[in-house]
Formats: sequence, C-alpha cells, structure tokens
Amino acid sequence: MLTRTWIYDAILYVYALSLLFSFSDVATKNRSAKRMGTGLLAFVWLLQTAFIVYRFWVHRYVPVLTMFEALFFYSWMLVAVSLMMNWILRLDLLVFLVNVAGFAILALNFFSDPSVTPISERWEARDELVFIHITFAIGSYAAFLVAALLSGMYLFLHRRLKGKQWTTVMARFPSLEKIEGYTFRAVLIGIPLLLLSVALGIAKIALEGEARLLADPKVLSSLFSVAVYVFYLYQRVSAKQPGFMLAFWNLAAFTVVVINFSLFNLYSTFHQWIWM
Amino acid sequence: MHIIAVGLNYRTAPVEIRERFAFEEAALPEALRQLKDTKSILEGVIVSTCNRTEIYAVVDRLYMCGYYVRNFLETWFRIPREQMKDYLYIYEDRQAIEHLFRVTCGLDSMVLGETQILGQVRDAFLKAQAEKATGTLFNMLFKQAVTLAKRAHADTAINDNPVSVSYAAVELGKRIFGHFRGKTVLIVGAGKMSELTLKHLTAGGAEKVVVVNRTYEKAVELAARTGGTATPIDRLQDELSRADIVISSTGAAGYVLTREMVGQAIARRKSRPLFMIDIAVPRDIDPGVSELANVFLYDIDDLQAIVETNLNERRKEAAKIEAMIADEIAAFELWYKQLGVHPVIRALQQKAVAIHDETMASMLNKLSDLDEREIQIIRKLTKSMLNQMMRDPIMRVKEMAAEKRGSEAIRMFTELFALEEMIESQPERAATLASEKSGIADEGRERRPRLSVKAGELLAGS
Repeated sequence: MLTRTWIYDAILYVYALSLLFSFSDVATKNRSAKRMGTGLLAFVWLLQTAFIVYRFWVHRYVPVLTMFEALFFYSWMLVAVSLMMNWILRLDLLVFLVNVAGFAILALNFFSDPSVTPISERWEARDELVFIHITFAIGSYAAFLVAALLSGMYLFLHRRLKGKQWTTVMARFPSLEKIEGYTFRAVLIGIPLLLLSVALGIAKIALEGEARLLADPKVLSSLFSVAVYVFYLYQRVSAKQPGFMLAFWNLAAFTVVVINFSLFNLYSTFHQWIWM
Repeated sequence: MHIIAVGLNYRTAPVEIRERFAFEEAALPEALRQLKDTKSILEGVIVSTCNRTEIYAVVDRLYMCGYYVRNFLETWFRIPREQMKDYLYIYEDRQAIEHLFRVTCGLDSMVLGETQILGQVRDAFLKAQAEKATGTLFNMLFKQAVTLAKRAHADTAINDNPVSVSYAAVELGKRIFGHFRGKTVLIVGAGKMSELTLKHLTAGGAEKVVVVNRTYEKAVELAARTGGTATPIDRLQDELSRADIVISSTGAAGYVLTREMVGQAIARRKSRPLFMIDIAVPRDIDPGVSELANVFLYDIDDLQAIVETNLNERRKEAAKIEAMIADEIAAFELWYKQLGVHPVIRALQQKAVAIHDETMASMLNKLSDLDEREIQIIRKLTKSMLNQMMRDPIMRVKEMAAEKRGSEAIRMFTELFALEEMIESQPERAATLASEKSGIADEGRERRPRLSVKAGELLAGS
C-alpha cells in the first residue's frame, strides 16, 4: 500500500510537471520546454511500467482486472500512445491533449477502490479470456479517445478557418485533411479491438452457459457502440459527408462509448464498474 | 584592436544606390585581398546582398580606420566620397558585434526573421576565410554569429508564420490540405498576384494547374509560363468542380464566381474541400460563397489581416532573440578578454620550468651521490611545489582578465612575475598586446553610443 502511494504520488507529480512544460511549448512554442516535457513524460511511462510490474510481481497476474488497475493500464496506454505519436507524427498539440486526458484519468483513479473488480465476482478474474477482453477494450478506448480529440481539433480548426479567425496557434494544428486521415486510422484501429473485445465477452458468456446475459444492457450497448462506429466508417468511406460532419459523427460515437463505459455498468447484472 | 562594421542597407540607401555598391560574386576574392591589404585593416569580411553591402573589419585603431575603409570603397566602386556619405553607417566594437548578430539572425532584414541572410553571412565569412582575410577574432565572431542565428531560428517561432500575402495564402492552404501534391489549382484571370501565389503553391507540390481567362491567349501565355493548361472561360463551371484551390484575380467589375456556380460545383465534388482565394479588387467571388459547406473563401483583406497577425508574432519572437544576442555578446567579450591571458600564463609556466630545470641541475652538481630514484622523487616534489604555487595566481589572473579592468590585471601580472621577455619571444605576443589595447573589453561600454549614419559624414570629411 505504501509502495502504491509513493509511486502513484510520484507519477502524478511528474506527470503534472510534464504537462506544464508541454503547455508552455504549446502556448509559446518553447522548444526547450518541449524537450523537458517529453523527457518527463518518458519518465512517467517508466514509473507507470514499474508500478504495473510491481503489482504483477505482488499479485501474480497482469494488473488489469480491478477497476483501479484497468484505469491505470488505460492511462499507461495513453502515455505510450502519446510518446509514439510524439516520436512518429510530431503532433505536439494532440500529444498534449491526450496527456491531459491521461492525467485526468490517473488523478480520478486515485480515489477509486483498488479492490473493486470490473467483472462478476462469480467468474474467475484471472481467466485468460477475461484478461484479453479487458485489454482489447482498453486498447479500443485509447484509440477512440485519440480519434475524438482529433475530431475536436478538426471542428475547432474548421470553425476558425471558415470564420477567418486566424491566430498563430492555428499554425500548430495539422491540416484538416491530415486530422481527418488520422481520425479515420484511429477509428480503424479501435473498431476491430472493440469488436474482438465484445466477441470475447460474448464467448465468455456462452462458455459460462448464461445465455440470458446476452440481453444484458451492457452487451447491447457495447454492440450499439460498435454499430455507431461502423456507421461513421461507412460515411467516411463513401465520402458523402464533408469533414466537419464526419467529425460530429465521430464525437457522437465517442459519446456513446463513454456512456457505455460509465452508465451501462450500473444497469448491468454482471458487468459492474463501481467507481469507488 | 577594434571591430568595425561599415556599410549601407535598404534603410539607408535606395535600390539605385545599393546596386552601385554591390560586389560582384566573381570579384569578391580580389576585393577581399585588396581589403586585407588596406592599411590598418587586420581582418575583413564583405557581406554583399541585394539589401545590404557591409564590410566588417578588425582594425588596429579606430582613428582613421573609417577613412581607410571609405578609401577602399571609393577605389573599388569608383564613386566619390561625397556621394556615399549620406548612405553609409559605421558601427564600432560592441555595436558592430551587435549589428552582425542582428543581421545574421534576420532582425535587421526587410522581412523580419528571414533565414536567407544567415546563409549569406556564412558564405561571406567562408569566402573571406578562403582568402585568408580572417583571423582569430573573426573566425570566432562569425562562427558564433552563425551558431546564434541557427539557435535563434530553432528555439523561437520567428520564422514560423508567413508575412507576405502570397505566403499567407499558401499557409492557409496548408492548414486545409497539408500539402499540395496531387491538388488541382484553378487560376481565374492572369494577374501578377495569382502567378506569385501559384509559384508558391507549385513549389509546395501542386501538380495540376488550369488557367481560365476571358482572353484565351493570355490564359495560354500564363499556362505556358507555369506549366499548366489553358481553358476557355465557358468551361469555368466544369473546372470549378474539379479544382481544389481557386485563385481569382480578374479585372472584372462584377462577380465572376457566384454563389450558385460554386454551389453547383460543390454538389458534384463529394466531400472534397474547396479553398478559394480572391485577390481581385473589386472582388471576383461572391462573399456569400463562404457560407457554403466545405468552402473556405479568403479575399485580399483577410490575407492582409493574417499577415499583420503574423508580423506581430514575429516582433514578439524578435524580442526573445534580442535577449539571446545580449548573452552572446557577453560571451564573446569574455572570450576576447581571456584571449590575452593565455600567452601570459604560458610565459609563467615556461619561466617556472626554466627555473626548475636550472635549480635541479645546480642541486645535482652539489649532491652527486644521489641515485636515480632519489633524483626522480626530488624532481617530482619540487615540480609539485611549483605547480601548487602557480595554480592560484593562474586561476586569479584568468578571473581578473574577464573583469572590467582585465587588461590592467594582465599587465600587473606580467610585471609582477617579470614575464615581459618570455612574452616577447612567444608567437602570441600580438594577441597579448591586443588585449592590452583592447577597446572592446574595457572601453567599449564607456565610449559614445552608435555613430550610425553620422559616421558617414565623419568618413567623408576625413
């Protein structure tokens, strides 16, 4: 518990510091602040990895099964994705936004109860199927979050360009075409992951022989989330909608995912994500 | 020794004067040789661009040096001194260094923060170096200037935002499309501004150019110049639905592209955005077009507003670079002050070694029964004593040399240890003397401020 506290505190402090430096770079294009921010972010990732390894060593399972662990793993994944984006795509603003989200989740998670499991107590928590189901779902949420942030950036830039409200901050944005392309790719990564996660969840239900759970609100809302994203994908591929409408659709799809994640667990009979 | 910068630029001289003072590329080596052979000039670099002609020189004295530089200019360009006096400026020592740093960073350029001047200053220095017209001072100073400018451009956003209307249009296009590869540019009207903007777009990768003009022959002419295709004006609607970027600059009194026309084109384009630039006055494109989804319309005033915003941003960044320049000048001054102390330290070390060798020889004569090991131990110990004795004075004189009255400290150190003869015999003697006479280090601050244009009169009258 002591280890959890000090390492978690350290992660939060270093992460906050990294965000401050990144913000300085985003606001004033301070290159040395960017280097500092990136360095600290890499350090955050190392600390998070150490924390996951420590928990794995203590509990003897990959720590993604409790509520606390799953969200921590989600935050770790966001940091990893942002570091990769920083390295490959050089999208400073997006990296900053992803990390603001990552930090918020990490900070919120500080108040969660580590013992609460995201799945039914009756099921074996260390089941491989459940483990893959959770990791895939977390992966898809990370991809969808990135896509949603990109859509937000698209709408902001689109409005500015349409309204002829030029500011130098706009020069930090990637082009509308690029943002749209990245959003599409992020959704392309997220959909199969979510689909596989849902499929594994259904397989688990089938293996447990509890067919009635297929009509559970959580299962239905997850399938609905997949459907909304597939609809977005169809709109994008058919090129019938302008970019800003696609961005709206994508944000709507993400809203469905957030509702599915946060609200439908309350109504589910087996998939309780109790926050605290 | 002193550093001076003599020259003229776009602020002090109109283009008809600047072109008369431009050094031809091929004649530059000869000019550098002549400059180097000029009396009182020890090092020299000539920076000659379309916006400025400047001579940077290390001179042995300030008095009369301007006269010699002016003489050089008069002889080289065959222009009487009276004709140049109103255009020339001269900066001395600290001001000259600051001017060089500002020029290299693009702060003295017509387009604030441009980077072309950095390459031009670097080339000028390399040419001077190749002609052996530079020495210790300029080798350090110009390298420092180039490094500073690179850092200034990398660490600030001075060069990030375009400050010309055509570049602003390109920047906007980049915010929409990212790049222009595979994009079709439709030029409506064969105006000069369209051509300039198109040039930037094609440099950015735009591949297909279609020119539409009321006079077809003019369209053919512009298309031939830009590697595009000319199309009659009656096919404007078709071309509009295929284009990604439209640049319009006709002389028509009414709208050439109406909301209906663009609306129809948009309906046939699926989800592709359309970027329209209207640089005509009166406007060619109906402003109502901007209300259509997926259309981004900018007229000349919109682009001008962007340029203004970006210029303000550049000014803010320039203030950051000014602070960097101040630090860099301080670093150069420190280096310069310490330059004179090295021969003194070396002289002291040589003297110490000589005393040690002499004393050891005398001692060995008196104690002839010492074995090799004992001799080694004594040699080592005595050397150690000498080194320890010298360590503090050497450190102190280094520190004192960097202070305000550094040259006095060096002189006193030289006298205290009686190093005059040793220094005389060293090749660096000149540098030591230079430090003693240093104008940059001690006097620069107290001397009068910039002479600037007034110096032109001084030069002409001398």
